[in-house]
Amino acid sequence: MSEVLNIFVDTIKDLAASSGLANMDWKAGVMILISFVFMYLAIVKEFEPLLLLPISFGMFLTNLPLAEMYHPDLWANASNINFGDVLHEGGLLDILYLGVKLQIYPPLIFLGIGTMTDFGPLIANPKSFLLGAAAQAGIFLTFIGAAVLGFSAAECGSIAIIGGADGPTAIYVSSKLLSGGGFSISTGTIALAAYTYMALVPVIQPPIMKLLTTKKERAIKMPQLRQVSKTEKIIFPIAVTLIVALLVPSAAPLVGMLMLGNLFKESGVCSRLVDTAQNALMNIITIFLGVSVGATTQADKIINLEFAKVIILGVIAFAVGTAAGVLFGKIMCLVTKGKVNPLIGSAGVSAVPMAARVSQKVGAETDPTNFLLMNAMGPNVAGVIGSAVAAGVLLSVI
Amino acid sequence: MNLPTLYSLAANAAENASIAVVDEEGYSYVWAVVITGLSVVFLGLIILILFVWLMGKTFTAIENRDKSKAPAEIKAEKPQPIVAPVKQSSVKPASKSEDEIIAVIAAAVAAMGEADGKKYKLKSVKAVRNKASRPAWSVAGLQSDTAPF
Repeated sequence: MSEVLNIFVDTIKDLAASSGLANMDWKAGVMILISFVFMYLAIVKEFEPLLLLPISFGMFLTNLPLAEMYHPDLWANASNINFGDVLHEGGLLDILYLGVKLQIYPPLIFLGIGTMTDFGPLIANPKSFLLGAAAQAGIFLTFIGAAVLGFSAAECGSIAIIGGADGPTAIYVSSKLLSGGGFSISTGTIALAAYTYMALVPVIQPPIMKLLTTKKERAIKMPQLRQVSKTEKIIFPIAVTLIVALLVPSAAPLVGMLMLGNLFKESGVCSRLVDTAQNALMNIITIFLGVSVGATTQADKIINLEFAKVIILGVIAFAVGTAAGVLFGKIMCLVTKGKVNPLIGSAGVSAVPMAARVSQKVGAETDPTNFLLMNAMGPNVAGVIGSAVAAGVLLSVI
Repeated sequence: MNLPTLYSLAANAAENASIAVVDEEGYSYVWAVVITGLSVVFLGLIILILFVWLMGKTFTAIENRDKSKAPAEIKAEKPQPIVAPVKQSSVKPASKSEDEIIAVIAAAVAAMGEADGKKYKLKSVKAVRNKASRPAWSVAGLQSDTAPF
């Protein structure tokens, strides 16, 4: 009898020793608590819940001791990742992370975004492209900020792209630049900051917009846009892909997929493909992308001073992008003798369609009969193209 | 600084991931990235503006040409319907629906008059069009469309 009892006690001891609880270190515990905070933000505050919830749950899963769902050491040697090892020894999240590492998910998300984007306002008012370009100043000026704070070139590029206010682009750029060990930040860190700030666009942007414009400027009414023909809408995605891919080839995967999705939509002959790309495919990729990006947020990437710096630089990137857009809008207002409302400039930071809604809202606060939404959609979708080009530039030069 | 130099600087910088870019390459590299980035983004989007502007001009021209042909044909086919004006009061509505609108306006004015303790007489009804803004119905439509945002 005593022997049975001994075996029982030993087994229980072994089980306890090999349990997650016994192997939990304080850092993993803190990370799990942080993941709960992000889950709270996603569920209760509805901060970009479609992405923040899978990201935060991925963060939760990856920090569970001994769960072995994600192995950062498999991805440490950037120049020579052993994909055989990943397939043989990797956990579920390692396998899903392949789609991030091989840059498959972000372009597929762009395909879905393309099927939901109407470039009509941009075609009707091509000057909007300038605002979409100006707002990208946030990306490049943050690059300087990151350099000053002592980050390496690849880290500077990854942090700066948060200013593009475009989640898939930020993940695409950071997963390419931050491949390999030795970095103090990860793709997950960048994604967390990018999506949190994108959700905070209605909070971050209005004070800057109001500070930089006068009441008279905010009240400027813009003319209704002309009707754009179907042929123009069909030619546009093909031409943009051609021009952008010839100019910045590294932007081709993002812009190409965005425009393919848009061509599906505008052609009117691929309704089944449009339906799949904007619903089923996009939802599947969103889940895979979110949960596997979340998995890269391990304790050593979050509980450090660098993460705090990323959070500060991220908000600076958003603020500078917004300010640059509004200031360029002011210049366009001056040049056109008051025909452009500078508020539409802030929509150039991407974050479709949130940033355009913010322009509409701030405009309507000054004059309830002012409707800037469609005029702001032009710079807004131009911002998506602009940030994809900026991403291509960063990937080329870093 | 030309692009090949920039690439070689970048290659050096990439060799050691953890070394700060400023220590490795100095601020000239940082500024080079910023200036190159902004100029390429602006250049790319300016090319797109030129293309879209040209495309817009071409299609607007084609559309105008088609339009100028189309009304002539329609006029030849359809004779103008003759509308007899209805004389009921000093206010002259052109159709039944306008008649209803005037009745509603008259009722609203009467209600206002009752509240003020005065009697108002409706002499004429004119559509108020503020040049800078849209018609009231268009505003109402836009308001209902954009209210959720």
